[in-house]
Amino acid sequence: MAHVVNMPQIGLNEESNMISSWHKEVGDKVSVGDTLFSIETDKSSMDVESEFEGVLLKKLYDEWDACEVLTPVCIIGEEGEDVSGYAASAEDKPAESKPEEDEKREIQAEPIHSEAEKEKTETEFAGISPRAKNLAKKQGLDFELAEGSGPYGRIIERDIYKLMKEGPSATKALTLSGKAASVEGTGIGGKVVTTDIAGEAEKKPIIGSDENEYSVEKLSNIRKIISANMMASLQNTAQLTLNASFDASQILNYRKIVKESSDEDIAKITLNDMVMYAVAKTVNEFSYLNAHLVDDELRLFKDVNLGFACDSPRGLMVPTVMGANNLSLLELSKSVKTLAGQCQQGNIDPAKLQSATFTVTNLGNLGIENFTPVINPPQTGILGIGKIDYKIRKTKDGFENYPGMYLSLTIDHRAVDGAPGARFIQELIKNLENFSVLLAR
Amino acid sequence: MTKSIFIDPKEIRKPGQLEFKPIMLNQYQKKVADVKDDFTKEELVNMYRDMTMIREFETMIQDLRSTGAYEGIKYDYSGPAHLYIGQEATAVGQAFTLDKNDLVFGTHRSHGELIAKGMSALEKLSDDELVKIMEESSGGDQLKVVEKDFEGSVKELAAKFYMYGITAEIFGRKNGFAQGLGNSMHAFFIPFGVYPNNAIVGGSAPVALGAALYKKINKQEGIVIANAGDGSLGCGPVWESMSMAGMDQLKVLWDEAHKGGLPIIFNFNNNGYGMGGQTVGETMAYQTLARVGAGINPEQMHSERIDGYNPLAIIDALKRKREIIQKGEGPVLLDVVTYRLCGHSTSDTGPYRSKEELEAWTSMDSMKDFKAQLIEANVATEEELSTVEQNTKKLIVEVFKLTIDDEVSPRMDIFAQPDSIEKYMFSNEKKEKMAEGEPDVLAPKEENSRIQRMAKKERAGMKDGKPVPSVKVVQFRDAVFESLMDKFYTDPTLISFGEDLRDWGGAYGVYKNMEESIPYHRLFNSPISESAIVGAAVGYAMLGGRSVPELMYCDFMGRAGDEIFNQLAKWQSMTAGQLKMPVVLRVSVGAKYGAQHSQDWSSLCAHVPGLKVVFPATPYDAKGLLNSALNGTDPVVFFESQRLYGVGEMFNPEGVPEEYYEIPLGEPDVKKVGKDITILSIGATLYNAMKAAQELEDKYGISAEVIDARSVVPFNYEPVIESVKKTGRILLVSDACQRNSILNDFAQNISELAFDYLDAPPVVVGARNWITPIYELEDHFFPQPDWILDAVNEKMLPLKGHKSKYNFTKGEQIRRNKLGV
Repeated sequence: MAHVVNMPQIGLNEESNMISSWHKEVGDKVSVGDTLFSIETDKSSMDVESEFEGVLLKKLYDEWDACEVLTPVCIIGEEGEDVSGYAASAEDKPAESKPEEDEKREIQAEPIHSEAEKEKTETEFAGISPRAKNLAKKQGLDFELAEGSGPYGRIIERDIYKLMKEGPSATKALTLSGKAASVEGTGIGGKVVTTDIAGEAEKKPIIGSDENEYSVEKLSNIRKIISANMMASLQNTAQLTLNASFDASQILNYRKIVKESSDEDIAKITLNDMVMYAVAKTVNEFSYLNAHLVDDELRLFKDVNLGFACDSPRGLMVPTVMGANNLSLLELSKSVKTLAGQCQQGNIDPAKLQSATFTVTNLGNLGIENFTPVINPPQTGILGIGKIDYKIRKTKDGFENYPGMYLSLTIDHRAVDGAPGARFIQELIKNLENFSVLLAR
Repeated sequence: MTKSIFIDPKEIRKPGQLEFKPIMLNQYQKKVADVKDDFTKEELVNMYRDMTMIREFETMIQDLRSTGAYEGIKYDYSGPAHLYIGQEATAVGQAFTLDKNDLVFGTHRSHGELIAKGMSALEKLSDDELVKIMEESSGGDQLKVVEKDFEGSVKELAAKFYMYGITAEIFGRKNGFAQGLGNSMHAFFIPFGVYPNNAIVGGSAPVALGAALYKKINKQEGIVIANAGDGSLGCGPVWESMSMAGMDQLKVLWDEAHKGGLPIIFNFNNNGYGMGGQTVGETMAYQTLARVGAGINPEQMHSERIDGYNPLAIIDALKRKREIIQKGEGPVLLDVVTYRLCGHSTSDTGPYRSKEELEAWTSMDSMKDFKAQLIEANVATEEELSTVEQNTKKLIVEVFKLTIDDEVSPRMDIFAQPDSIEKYMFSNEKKEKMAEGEPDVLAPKEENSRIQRMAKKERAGMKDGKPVPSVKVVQFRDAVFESLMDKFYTDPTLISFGEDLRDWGGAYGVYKNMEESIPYHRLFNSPISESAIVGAAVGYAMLGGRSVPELMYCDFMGRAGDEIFNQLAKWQSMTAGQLKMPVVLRVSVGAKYGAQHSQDWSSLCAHVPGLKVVFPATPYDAKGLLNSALNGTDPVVFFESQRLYGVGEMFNPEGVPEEYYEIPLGEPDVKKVGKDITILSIGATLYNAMKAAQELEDKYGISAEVIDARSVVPFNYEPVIESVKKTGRILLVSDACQRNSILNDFAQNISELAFDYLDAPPVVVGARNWITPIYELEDHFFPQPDWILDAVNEKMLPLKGHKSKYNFTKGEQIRRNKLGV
């Protein structure tokens, strides 16, 4: 008897996931625990392992197809088993952005809908509702990247929400680049479907004539999200960056001390952990920076959920240390290591990628002095940590050098003015320069 | 309909022959010389003066229309000019005996009656009364103009005042008696008993019938004259009105205090033409108009033919007819022969009559003839009468100059006062009772057996989460009954009439048992005469009475088209708010009875400015809205669906309150809160909208907000726009045929008012543009829950996995419109 493998639901809000790669082909033997396919969610990715023994009889989706959660992805059974019944049932519940399946559904479900009308609208811009347009504008999104699910392909409100959440779909992007028109369709009635465009894209360059000039890399789901979020952030907030530096002697000394520790975990406490620790303790007292600006209200949080930017193979991720202000330096450090590891592995719980109230980002280890970190709305601030440079200062005994560490604080000027932002840096610097006192608190 | 009247088959089937009494023709042949002792010299000379006044006034209009000038003064008058030249004696003779309690209603050709009745009335009023009337008219605006540099008596001033008010009205000036909103064919002056002229042929007949009903029911003195032309006998409403004015119950069933025929004279100014159609020999069948009375009642309406070219003959006739009316033997029909020496209008080149005919009548010109008689009888000298003529001319020229002077007599300045007309469209007053006094009733309200039965019923349609059986619940029909009863016991002027209301209780039981409490003269069965039913309510209101006429089916509104659309809707604004129209016209929207008994025509009513249009869908709303309508002074067309008479209150958890409450007209009501789509329904369709909302929620997880429009005119868009801002989508649904349904108007306004919030175009789902088929096929004609889902899926928000049953595609939309179906 055949078994249906369903698309898992990872986060509560997930509606669909993308299949990033298949690890088994139809006909391959499958054992319990074998990786069947990898998926990418809005914010994370994971491998899906088989719970069944047998042969992979049918794949219902190709790579880069989206599949609704808790609906069938593939079928495993005994060799030669008839799975046509399963296939049918799978097609009754098609994925949102699978045009072939959409087409079939339309024909089954809406016999009255005129095929000619559908055809006609496919290659034209089918319009957007005023409501959807307004929403896109408010979010700083290019609505043309949305896939219209309204009547006759009109972009409606839910499509913009989908765009916000999932980023643009490949089909739509390619259609807009003008490729669809010249592609030979293999869908019902000769309609162009995703696979046609994908095939075409392999054959022909997108622009220019020399395909050796570049290589094509599809944007991952995460890349699309980052792209939309960053764009929205810069379009919708009033960002202002304040730069400063401080004397890092104390934290460098403290780093030396912990490094000598026989406790492996203590020995792993980094400068970054210390800055985060100081931020968590300090920002708690500057409530307008530990806040969300939502419409006309500023939501001031009691605890600090400290996000930190984490470079992963899948791109930028921002995991969050919850209640960071209540943690010891060691607890904070351990938490950061665990979350960063999960990001690298790509198996982080998506819930942990949300809900930061303030964020820290570090480019210091890459030799950057100052930069302009980009706020994650609705947060009101983000602190960038730069490298350490030897600096010179004048004392009564003459000039002396000291290790100076760069800080770049970006604030949302809509919520916070320059002076209060500067006062936060001032206080933060005081705490970092007197780190032992801070630890004693 | 009453068991007390026995239809005896032996009597009905007995052989015999029906006798008619002879109808007198022009029996009165006396001249001034024969009767000069019966009149004072002043009376006779004033009659001549009034004739010259009409002749000169009409000559002015004629000159303006044909030459662009009067007495060498240029003025561009492009309004109507249905002139009275030639018929002067007719109007003056009629007006002579009338006093201010006697009311005249006119036609499109009534300048003559207007002038004659006013001039006659002012002769009979005291100086004090005249001054008061002049001071109160338009806050003294006309008086201020005419009293400047005036020298003469109060009566002379009043004559100038009156002619100025009329001229200003006809020329559309703000100093007109209706601020220029009535103009030529709708002029009036109520303080002199001059009720409105009527531009619709025969239009005054049902209205005057209502005025006569008011006089009869409320025991007012005086008689009512419905002026009409011979052409109007081609119009059904005139026949309906004559018949209803003489209906048997008035003499048989009404109580002693109110017994008797109505005090009304149907006065046909028989000039031989209905525009150009010759009523005798060409367009009509009666040969002699007076014959018609014989077809109406056993009294033959006391019909006779009077020579309208002899004012003395008319005076004689009116004196005799007044006595008949006072004995309770009305109505009366007069065939007053006369002749129009001018064209039907100034564009009339006279292709329909011969030169010889015109010359023959001109040679008998009643005005010239009367002048000759006065001289011959030594009542007045040639010189004296020439002075009368000169004075008349002087007055008309003076009034003309004042009227066309834009400084003295400006028009409404609608830029400066944008609400100049708007404010008269509705009176929006709240008046608990239209007159003081105790209402006539037969017993205390609480003794009514239905009220006693209702006391034992549940007031809400749901109890402990379950629907209450319909026999145990206060139903829609009970809510309407309760509201009507309240008003019957509050407002002594309130009457209600229509087909089968008394005894039967109305076709749907709304009036059941009401006859136990309300006497005949306040609640009566009318003939099957929709024009007369609605028209009578209009006339009843003009005299200050409140009424609830009923049309058994909405589809019968066509039979009362003029009365609803031209009379009921317009008289408040055409009189610049001087008349109120407290009429609630109840109409029942049918179902199951096919093409001519199942139509929702609320959209037709909404199209005509001046009507309020209400269509409740629940008992609570019905009672509250009817209370508001009944307490107001505006005409309200109150739609009730026959599908709903038996329903209990399913929305308001408290049910239908027993006590009095009002729901303001024009406020839509959110019947169910939702967030994804708004459904706006009118009337009984609410229940299908609720079913659709449920299905959207259960099957597709879409939360629908359902709004019941309740009123169509007026309509407050604000709650609907608020809802659309939230949901982004709106579907509008009602049982009216979709083409030109008011829903399209709603949809268009919503598109404009909430455009930026819309996620889909507003979608209208109305009934098909077909005839209503038989009950078993009605699901294909009236919007069903499935239609709503299909339309949502096709036009607004594709529903995952939804299978459409009905075709809402664009192609189909174009195809249907191409075919006009």
